[in-house]
Amino acid sequence: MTKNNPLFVDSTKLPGDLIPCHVELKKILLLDGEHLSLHLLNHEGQLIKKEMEPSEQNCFETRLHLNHQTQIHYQFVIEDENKEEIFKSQVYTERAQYALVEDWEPCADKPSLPTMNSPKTEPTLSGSTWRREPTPSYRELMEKWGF
Amino acid sequence: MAVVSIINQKGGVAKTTTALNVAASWAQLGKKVLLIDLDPQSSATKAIFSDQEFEKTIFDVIVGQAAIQDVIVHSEEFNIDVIPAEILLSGIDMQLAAHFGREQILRKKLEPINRKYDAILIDCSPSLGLMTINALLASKDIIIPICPEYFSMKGIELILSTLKNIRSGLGYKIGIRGVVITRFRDRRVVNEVIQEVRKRYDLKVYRNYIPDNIAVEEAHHHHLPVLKHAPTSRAAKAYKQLAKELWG
Repeated sequence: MTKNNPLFVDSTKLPGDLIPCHVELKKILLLDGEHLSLHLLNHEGQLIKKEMEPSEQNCFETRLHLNHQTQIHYQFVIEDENKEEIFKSQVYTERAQYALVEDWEPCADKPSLPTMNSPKTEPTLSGSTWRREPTPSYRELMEKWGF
Repeated sequence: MAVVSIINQKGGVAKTTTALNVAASWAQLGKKVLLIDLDPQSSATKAIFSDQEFEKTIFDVIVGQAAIQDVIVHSEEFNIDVIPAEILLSGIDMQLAAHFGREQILRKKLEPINRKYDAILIDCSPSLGLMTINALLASKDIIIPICPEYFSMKGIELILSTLKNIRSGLGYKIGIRGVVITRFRDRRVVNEVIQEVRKRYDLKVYRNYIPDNIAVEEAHHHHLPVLKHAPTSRAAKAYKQLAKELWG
């Protein structure tokens, strides 16, 4: 989480006040049938899932209400039409503020060794132990399967 | 044209010179212009009014001791209205640290006079502080003057970071009108810088560059805009063309 510069903290809001938050993800390209959603864990340990809608070219956004300056963890998830998770971004940790703007290119994420059965760690209510989903490359999978 | 801040967090890039001469050029085009000096060093104020002292300045407006209409002074030479600055602005961060809505004071103070002007230009201090934040939140967009050199990229990066932080932390989205090349000497270097600015930041670069010209400095000494002091100089012509280009 970045350090907090008081110059950029709204002096008209107290920590904990409810504020609107605009979440924007840039450089993202979805294929037909894919959906992008935001998974956010707020300071009370509640998991909020919100579908993101396309705005400008290669840009998706959503809006929600958060408690000003409280710690949040969030992640972007691409799902297919069956709601199966295909890609997950890294987990970001920030203070709740008016806008969260990130870039993410799923295909540019560093691939790990092919682990088709790699365990997924589900977030808990009291705290999250998010783990990044491994993304093997096609070449590695083909070598593994002997094609 | 709305409220526009001239800003670069790197000093020495001709922010004040650009603010003064663009304001004067717009006035020459028949526009009603207000220039607000927000720099504690009062460079714009001194360039216009020399060592003249003012009873009330933008400082008094910000701290609530004067109405904004009461601090506006007119410059015959530049043909613009001016809100002067003073050194007390340097302490304003401490004075307003606990003030409710400290980042929006200037925005609110400008409301009564916004519509009286065709354009309001704010000459910002190079340092990042509460006054710069006030200027940015009062502005619809910004103009970034840069000198074509390595550190000019750093200046742009700082501003982009500041605008991003303002959007995230304060909820205001401020546009970038474009980049002005100032004090240029070598066309090859300028072309490289322009390519870099466009490629890296995807920002508009205005086509009229301001050359490094002694006439500008001389104009400052005479407390005149360069287009009045040396109307046939390269800098005067460049500022006139730039002003038209900025007006759009």
